[in-house]
Amino acid sequence: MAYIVKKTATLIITLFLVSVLAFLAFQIIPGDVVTSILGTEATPEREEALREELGLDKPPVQRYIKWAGGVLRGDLGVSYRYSKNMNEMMPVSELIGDKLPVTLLLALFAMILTILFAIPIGVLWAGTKNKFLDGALNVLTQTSMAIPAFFLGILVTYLFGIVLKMFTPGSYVSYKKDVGAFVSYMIFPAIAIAIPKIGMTARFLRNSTLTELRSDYVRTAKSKGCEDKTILFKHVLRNAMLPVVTFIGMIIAETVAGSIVVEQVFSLPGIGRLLISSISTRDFPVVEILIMYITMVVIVVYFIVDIIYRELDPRIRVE
Amino acid sequence: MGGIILLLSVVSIFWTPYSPTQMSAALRFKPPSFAHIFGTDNFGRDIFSRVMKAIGTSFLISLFVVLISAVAGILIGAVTGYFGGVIDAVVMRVVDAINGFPSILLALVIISILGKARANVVLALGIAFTPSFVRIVRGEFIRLRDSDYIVRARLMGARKRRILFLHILPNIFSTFWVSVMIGFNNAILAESGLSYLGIGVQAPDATLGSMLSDAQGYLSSAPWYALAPGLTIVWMVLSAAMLSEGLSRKKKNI
Repeated sequence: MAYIVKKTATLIITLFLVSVLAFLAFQIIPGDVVTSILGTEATPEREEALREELGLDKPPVQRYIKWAGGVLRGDLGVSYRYSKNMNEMMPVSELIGDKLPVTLLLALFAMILTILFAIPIGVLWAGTKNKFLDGALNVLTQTSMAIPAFFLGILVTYLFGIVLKMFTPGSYVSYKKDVGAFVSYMIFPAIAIAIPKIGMTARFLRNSTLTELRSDYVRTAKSKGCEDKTILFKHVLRNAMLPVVTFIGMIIAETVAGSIVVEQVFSLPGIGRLLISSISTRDFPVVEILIMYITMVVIVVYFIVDIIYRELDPRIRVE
Repeated sequence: MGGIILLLSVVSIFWTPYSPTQMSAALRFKPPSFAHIFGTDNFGRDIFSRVMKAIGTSFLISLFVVLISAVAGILIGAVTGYFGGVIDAVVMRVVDAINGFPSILLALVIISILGKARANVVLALGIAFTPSFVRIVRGEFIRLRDSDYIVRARLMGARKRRILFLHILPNIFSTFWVSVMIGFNNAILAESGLSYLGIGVQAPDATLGSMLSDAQGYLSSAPWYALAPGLTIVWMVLSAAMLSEGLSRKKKNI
């Protein structure tokens, strides 16, 4: 229990630091936001009014407190670029609202695929004595790790979309409209993200299994007359899976990053595309919030992985 | 394999079969043939020439990225690992925080602050990749700082700079090279990712990533357009990966 409290405290401190950094980083940028919104033709009075409306006339610390306070209360600020109508600026929360679930679901699908395929492949690979299978898996996983996510996305589009006609590229359906159509479209970008991760995880699991197979308790089990299969599944895998849990936690961060790129390939309306376009148009309130969201997801995942790890391995809990 | 990449990128500085930016309406979307071995693109440009140029660009950027992050990694890692203490604790917290962050995202943020330009891409990726080098170098320095020969060098009155860079540094190179190659790999992938997203090197300069993003629109009519730059990236990464595997194997034999 004390462990969880301590971990939670670290979690909150890290989030606070990230929020300060995310906010301050965009304060040192050259160029005036007000001029870039209104253009250079605007009157000084108009500029002054907008500056006050956006709170840009106050010092950074005061602005941070106001911003952070707003974020905690669910007020995420307004976008510099998008507007609701002529007089009202678009709140960031409305802009992000239905885009966040798309990205998170995509990452989740990719993660499920990774675990579903990587673990059996890794175990099969570690257990095989077939030289050909060993070599083939080596080449396959190595190649899968060399293909960038967006090229993989293009290949998936070409193979499944254009040659096999299993889906129409660009025909995304919102999950609010039709869950079935949503899932059957999302499966393809998820495949594109998952393939390199499957390669990586399978390699990792194989190596950690082979390391475990060389340890003393395996020899003991063998000399007692245990069958190879029993040793692999009952004794070795339990230990070999431990580092894999940490490893999977690490690649979740990469999966989230991968979704940002792959969203672009499959034109999914997720936060990745919003982030890219906001960076291009220098819409910093949106960028700040998106960075906060993504970091939060990553940190929380690490937090959960740490706790699962402790539950799985009693050796850590003792100390 | 890696040799061909290197050769192509060096040759591309002096010579490409066609001009990489020469457009021609008559030559739009010609499939691969003897005249244009990778075919032509939507503006009638020769894809092979563009790929050659792009390899050079991508290669140079990745080289500088690795150079920046490796040097920064050595300096920071050596000092924190050897001396430990408060600086070490603070630096490691920062390194951990950055490490948890997807590197392409960090690069995106830095570029959005600095603006899009080739030098900023290098700087952004250089910063994003530094923590992983710091971690490796620091680990090695901690491992070696209390070994017998270092203790003796210290007893003989060697200066700290001498111990750090003449006694310890040469001994970590075999480990370090492997991570340099892995870093090079990731740099190629990250650079092409950024230019695919339109945030890396800007048009009209050819990069593998931006060619892929152009090609995507013509996937059904001209699939060869996407295949050429895509497979080139895979090839570059694979040859770097093989090199690093060879290096680590050589290291084990010693």
